[in-house]
Amino acid sequence: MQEVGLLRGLGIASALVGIVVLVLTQYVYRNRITRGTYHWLLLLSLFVLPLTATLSTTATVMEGTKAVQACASCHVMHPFVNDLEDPTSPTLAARHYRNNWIARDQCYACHVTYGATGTLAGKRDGFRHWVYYITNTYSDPIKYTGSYENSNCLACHGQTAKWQRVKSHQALVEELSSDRIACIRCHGPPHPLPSQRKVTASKP
Amino acid sequence: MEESELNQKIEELKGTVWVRRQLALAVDCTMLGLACILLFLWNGFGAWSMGLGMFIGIPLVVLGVILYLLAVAFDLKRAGSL
Repeated sequence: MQEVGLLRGLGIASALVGIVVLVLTQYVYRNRITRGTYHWLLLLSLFVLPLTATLSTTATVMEGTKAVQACASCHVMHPFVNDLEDPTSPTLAARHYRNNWIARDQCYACHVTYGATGTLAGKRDGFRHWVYYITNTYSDPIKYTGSYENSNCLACHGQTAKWQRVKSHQALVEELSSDRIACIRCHGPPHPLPSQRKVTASKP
Repeated sequence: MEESELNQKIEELKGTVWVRRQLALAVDCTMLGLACILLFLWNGFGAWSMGLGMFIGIPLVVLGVILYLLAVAFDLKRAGSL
């Protein structure tokens, strides 16, 4: 998370300096500086600083949206984050969280869908959810409508000796790797069911 | 002053006005975009602040950069440097 803090700081500095330089150059000292100085200041404030701000903001969003806190910034996710942090919760997600089986970015780690296009698909889904949230066009309680790919589980578990020793895994390896049988069929529920969610999500 | 010379002067003046207008527009777009980005980065992750920074701020900044580059390219072409 330190990198995100640095990128965020760089973005804030670039945006702040950019705005100040633009105001001074265009609206305060425009007629008091030479044409050459004006052009150099415009190059700095209309090209260099905006590009730095844009790149650092994009990188901040790409990295920052992986954090659990980013998911929790939408009210609709509060019941799921509350469940993660509940030390008595029996759900799969809560057990992964409290036992530190995933060290960081726990929501993202299980919802990215591993593979060549996984990150892109994760960002696309995140964008779709964001649109539903701000346009208030989601139904409450929310339901998972997609198909949860086993690759999310197998990316970590699939190569471990513990997983490979389990007889049912050995017998069903084809079905599991082709998603014909879902891991959560035996190991669920991953999150609390609608009736078990502790905080009712409030719409924005 | 001959008519052709006068026409040339008028065209040059029109070009200068166009460049100035483009630059002024680029400055306004970039300032607004940077302000949106700044609000988002300062506030941190939130549904509205992220939308403001990413989907309003960044397109405005990119538009400002494009307008600036167009003005520079036009100015350089007019001066015969491009």
